[in-house]
Amino acid sequence: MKKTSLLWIIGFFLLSQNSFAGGSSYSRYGKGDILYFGGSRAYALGGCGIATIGNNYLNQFNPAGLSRLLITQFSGSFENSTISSSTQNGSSKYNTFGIQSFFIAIPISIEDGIALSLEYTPYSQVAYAIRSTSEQAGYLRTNTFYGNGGLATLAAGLSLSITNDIHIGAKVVYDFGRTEQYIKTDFTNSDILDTEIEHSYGYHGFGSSFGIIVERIGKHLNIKWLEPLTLGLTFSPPLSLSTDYQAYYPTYDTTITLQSGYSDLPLSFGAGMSYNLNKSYILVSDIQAQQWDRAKIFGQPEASLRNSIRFGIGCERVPNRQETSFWKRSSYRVGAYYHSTYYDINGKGIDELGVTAGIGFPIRMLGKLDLGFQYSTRGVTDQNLQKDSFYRISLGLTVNERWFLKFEED
Amino acid sequence: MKTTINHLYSSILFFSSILLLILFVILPGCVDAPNPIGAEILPETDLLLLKQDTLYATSHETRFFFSNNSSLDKFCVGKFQSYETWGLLGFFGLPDSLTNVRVLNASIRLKAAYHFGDSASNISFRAYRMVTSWVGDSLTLDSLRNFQSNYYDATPLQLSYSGAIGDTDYITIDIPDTSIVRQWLATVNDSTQYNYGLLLEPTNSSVIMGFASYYTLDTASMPTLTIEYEKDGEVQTYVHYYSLSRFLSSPTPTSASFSTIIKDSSEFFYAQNGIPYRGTLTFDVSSIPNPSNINSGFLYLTLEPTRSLSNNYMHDSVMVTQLNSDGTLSYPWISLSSVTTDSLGNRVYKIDIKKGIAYWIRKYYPAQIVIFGYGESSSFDRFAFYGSQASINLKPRLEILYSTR
Repeated sequence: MKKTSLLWIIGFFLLSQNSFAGGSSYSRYGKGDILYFGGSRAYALGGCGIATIGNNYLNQFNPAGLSRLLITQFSGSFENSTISSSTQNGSSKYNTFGIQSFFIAIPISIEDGIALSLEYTPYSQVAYAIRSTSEQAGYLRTNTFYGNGGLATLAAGLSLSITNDIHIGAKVVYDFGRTEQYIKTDFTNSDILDTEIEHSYGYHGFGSSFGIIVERIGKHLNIKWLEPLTLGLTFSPPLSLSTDYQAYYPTYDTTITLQSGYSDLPLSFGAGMSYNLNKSYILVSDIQAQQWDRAKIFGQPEASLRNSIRFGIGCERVPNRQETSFWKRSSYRVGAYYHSTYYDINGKGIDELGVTAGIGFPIRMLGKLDLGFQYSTRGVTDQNLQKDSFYRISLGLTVNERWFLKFEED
Repeated sequence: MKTTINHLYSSILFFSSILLLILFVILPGCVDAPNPIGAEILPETDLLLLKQDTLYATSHETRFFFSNNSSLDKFCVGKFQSYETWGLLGFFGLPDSLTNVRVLNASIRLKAAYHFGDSASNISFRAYRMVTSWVGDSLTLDSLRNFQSNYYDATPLQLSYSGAIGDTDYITIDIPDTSIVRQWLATVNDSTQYNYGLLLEPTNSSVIMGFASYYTLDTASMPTLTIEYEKDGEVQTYVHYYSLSRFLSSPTPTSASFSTIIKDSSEFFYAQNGIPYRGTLTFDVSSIPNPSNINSGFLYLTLEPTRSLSNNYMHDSVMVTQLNSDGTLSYPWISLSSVTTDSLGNRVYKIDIKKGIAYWIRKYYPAQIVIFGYGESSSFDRFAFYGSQASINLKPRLEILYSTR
């Protein structure tokens, strides 16, 4: 036991050391790579979960999905992502490690489907490290670019069951963060002072998100085979983030605010379905879209962005929830997704195609441990673009706790 | 409950260990150093744009700046052309063991360390007894002249020198009337100070001589006061090394040519060592965007040789620093020149002042500089530079390379 603990601690430390690294150059644009995280379960189901609801499930996509929660749940997730980027001139491999989410949901009234949620979830990530050489006005120079930072979301949500089958929810979100680009220019001519500048955009602002889930669609439509069907919708109105654009000059230890104003987080819309084939299988599918082509920053259109659409499907099997066998009570998940990302670089849209898998391990009385894997490719090597291959591993732990609820004594 | 927690703990450890093993397979080969992969993805606008600009001085001036040279390794005395320098020398800290001795002879020994003017001509000076302290910063030769009685006894002492001095010669100046030395010794312990040292007034016209001071690196070159005395019927010699010195310079009161040269020229400005005068320049840097990084910034000054003065002791460099809007100096940066020659054969001083320009564009300081000789306190060289009204090839210019986005 002690050796295993030591391995775990050392491993975590090593991973933390690798948390700084380069990454995909695409994250230079917009707000960086948008992270679609709807919970550890959805992670392994092709990123789908808008219409998923259950008494032991934290739905982070749709606030209405907490209505059937029976017990307070805490969830924390971490992801290690290894990226292999290749261009026509070569390839490189990077690694990043970080938090995916911290989430807590507390049922206030089980009868009314009222549950309160609080969450911290990274929204986007910027990570790249690039070195290039160039010549201008006869001066040869090496340019080094480091991109880092990103946006994160703090949210408080509330769910409510209107009827036994219809649930609604809403979230108040606070998006904040800073994306940075550090540039260092080294001149071969020693008479010329090397240049260091750190440009950054700081964002913050309040927004909202709404969701609805309708269960047993077939029952309402009088179509028997559609009875196990559940539909869900999410909607986030466009949001104006207060934005400042700063330049920091390390040589002079001076920070100058170049511009202040607003930037857009555009309208986003999601629709999903889940279908219980029998007690063992559930099929899920989602579509999420975000209107980035009209997004502006300081009144000007954001460069190289287009509307994004993400489509995913997934399937989960739990052999037998009532079994005492650990493996039969575990959840086995697979999925796939296609993501037409919001990047539109060099006149070409950047698309991502991925497959997912995962296992959810029950932990007696306390919760569950979710392990998820994703493999995806993004972009092409034509047109001076790059192709990224992502190997992602996610580890999520959900712990149950009884808060506020009164249980009748025997 | 305890069993459940143990189960949770075991599960976490087990699955985390699996995860780590997987990661250790993936992680090798990952890099964190920047590399060229993906460079084409970045927009051209992310590259810092390098720009060059040449700015010319909008105005120039030559100003007097006070300078205290009391901690220098030499002090000067003499006259040359329009320059006049008076020396101050005091032997302080004399021992109280000699308070009651009979002084037989006394002399001062000095070592030549510098000359400006005709080295073969005679240097001559006479001495006066100073009656007040002269280490304060605000003392000038003009104040000495104009308020003589406040500073020195107008009756010359029997202490003078006249003769030519070689560049490394020692000279010994006898003090025939040893009464002043006796008074110095007799009042060592008095609460009222008597010993304020000597004022050396030049009486020659063709050379300014510099002598090693107490602060010279070579102990053997220091000024010394040698006292031969009799005590208890025995003749002994005492040599005193500790001294303070400084020199005060100005144009000779009758020198109209100096004023003409230094102050009245619209085409030139000057860095005049020794007195000293310094040149100032003003620039307009509003064409350089703020913010931008100053990658290089060189000031070019063209020397006008016929108006300049130098000798073989010359420190052939000038220094440049920031001039505040109120005319004071705060030295946020300071730069030393190098010398090049332009295509017309002119001597051009090149000074790296990029730090200053960076301050200017951020409006921390006004775009004003002051130019002074590297040997300002210890020599009398004069640098005459073409000013802001000169032709474009000769006027002071800034060549700036900066990057911006």
